[in-house]
Amino acid sequence: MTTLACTGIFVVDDDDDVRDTFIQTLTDEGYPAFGAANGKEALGKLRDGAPLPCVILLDMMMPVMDGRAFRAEQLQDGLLSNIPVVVLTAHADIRGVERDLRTGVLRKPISLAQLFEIAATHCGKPTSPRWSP
Amino acid sequence: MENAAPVILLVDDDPGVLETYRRSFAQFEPLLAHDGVAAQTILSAFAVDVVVCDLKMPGMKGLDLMKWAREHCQPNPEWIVVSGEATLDATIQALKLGAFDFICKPILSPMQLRTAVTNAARHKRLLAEVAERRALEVALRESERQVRQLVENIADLAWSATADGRIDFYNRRWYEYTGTTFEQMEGWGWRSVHHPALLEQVVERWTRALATGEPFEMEFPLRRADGVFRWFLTRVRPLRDADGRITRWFGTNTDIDEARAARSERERLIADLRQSVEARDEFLAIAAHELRTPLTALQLQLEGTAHLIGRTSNPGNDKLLGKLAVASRQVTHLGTLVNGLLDVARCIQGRLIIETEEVDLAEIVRAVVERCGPQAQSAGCALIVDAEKEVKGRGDRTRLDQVVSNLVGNSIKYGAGQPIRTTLHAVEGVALLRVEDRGIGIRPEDTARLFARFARAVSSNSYGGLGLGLYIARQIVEAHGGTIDVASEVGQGSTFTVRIPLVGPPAERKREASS
Repeated sequence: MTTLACTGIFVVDDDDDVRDTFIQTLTDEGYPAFGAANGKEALGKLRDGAPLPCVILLDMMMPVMDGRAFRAEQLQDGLLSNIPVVVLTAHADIRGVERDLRTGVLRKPISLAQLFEIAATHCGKPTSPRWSP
Repeated sequence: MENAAPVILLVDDDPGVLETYRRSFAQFEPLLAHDGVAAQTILSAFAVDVVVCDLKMPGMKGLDLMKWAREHCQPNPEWIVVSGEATLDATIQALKLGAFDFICKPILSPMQLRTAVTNAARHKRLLAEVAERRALEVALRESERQVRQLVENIADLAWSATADGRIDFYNRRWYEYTGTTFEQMEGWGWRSVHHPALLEQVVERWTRALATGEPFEMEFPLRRADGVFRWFLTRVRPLRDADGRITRWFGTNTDIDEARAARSERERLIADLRQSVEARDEFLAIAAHELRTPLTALQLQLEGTAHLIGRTSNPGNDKLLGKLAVASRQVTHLGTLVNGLLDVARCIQGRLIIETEEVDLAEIVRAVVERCGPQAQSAGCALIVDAEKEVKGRGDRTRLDQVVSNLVGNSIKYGAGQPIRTTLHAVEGVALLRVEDRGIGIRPEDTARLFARFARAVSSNSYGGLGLGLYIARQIVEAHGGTIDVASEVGQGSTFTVRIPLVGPPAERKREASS
């Protein structure tokens, strides 16, 4: 596996605990991770000039701007449209979401192994686990 | 009857006279009697209209015969007495007895006698007609009296109107209820006891019925004497004569106020109930969905913690990891229960989505049996599989796995430690799956509701679970266009049979056909 310079994993989920768990777990594993509580906040952070993330983990049901609307905006924006997105949803119609949003979709709840697989696919193998005994 | 020839009886002791009579009345085919006794016999046997009778006869005299007839003949014929001068007294007596006419001997011409007989016959006929008409009138009056009495005493308000719709009769109940008088109600006066909101409609419907001659039915309120409006069901029918012309209208108003109130109360209750059920289902969906989110975080935290601990080599790690594994299993179990609730909510709301792909049911069955191994082992049930190597068709892998897991899981749960046999075969394009146990079985009265929501055949004290599994299983199987049923005997075990068409769910086939 090639080691890539990871610019971070962006977690967009309105549930603070879920978001923090993802961020913390990924950080523990050595991936830089940051988050936003809804689509609008996420777009703001992506457009503030900081380096763009390797992958976005996107929740579907969120207040203010949901996953669907965020994805539509993102695809319209030439600078952001190439960032890969993985949708995490409890929604039953996985196929429908895949087709509509043109993304990979995983059904919630996802396991640690699935989370690490996403990270490894898009960011490569972590080089320096931050957490150490 | 009017055209029928009169029946005539001729009585005379003189055969010559009788013969003369007979010839005179040949056209009427008269009856002949040569004495009173013979005449009695004839009068007893036939309804005679006119008797021509000689007064002076040997044996029974004419007068005696008349007296006898008055008592025994019903109706009594008309009598024409024939007498000589010597019997003037007798003639007078005969007239007193009601004789219609008398003729003196010798009879001068047959014409004289024929005229008398014809007159007597006509008189008889008229009398009969009058009597008949009188009887009819009496019957009619009686029948009218009975109808009136009936109408006056029925519980309904009732009325009748002329052909053009003027009401000219109301029964007693109408006046009792409305507290009005005939003068106020006559013709179209009834409008004053109607509710203004519906009056226009009532008048329109009544006018239309009058125009078309169609009977009409309508519910509307009528004002009671105390001003309270109560609802009535009104039925109006036209009465027609023999030619089909409407002669009168007859209407009844039946008090349905309580029935109506009960009906609207029932409708309200049903609406409430439906709303409550919908609210419950909605709550179920939201609650299940909300419960999953923290479970996601919790599961990840547990796995993450175990992951981190695994990187260290502290003593006591094994104990910590063991505890985490138990916690993780419990969270998984909780997740399964919550998923069940969510599935039920989806089924109820018709949002159970089947994602079809090419699947091998045999592979699913083997995977499920393998996964259930530990559970079966701890329950002491041997799992026997008799499946074809490959049963391929179109279906939702995850959902079908759920069905098989549920059936095998149930069998282990209720299998009483006896072997469980799972068979799978493809028969004429249909996958036939059987899960058979020799456990506690199901009572016949419970099998019917086994596939209903929240149903369980055994007490929840001894066996856990929400009772959703078979309900969801059935929904999934039916969404695949298949069937699920059970055969069971208490103490002998149960056999669940699932049949699923290998071509896939009907909805998918329809979509493919149309695209």
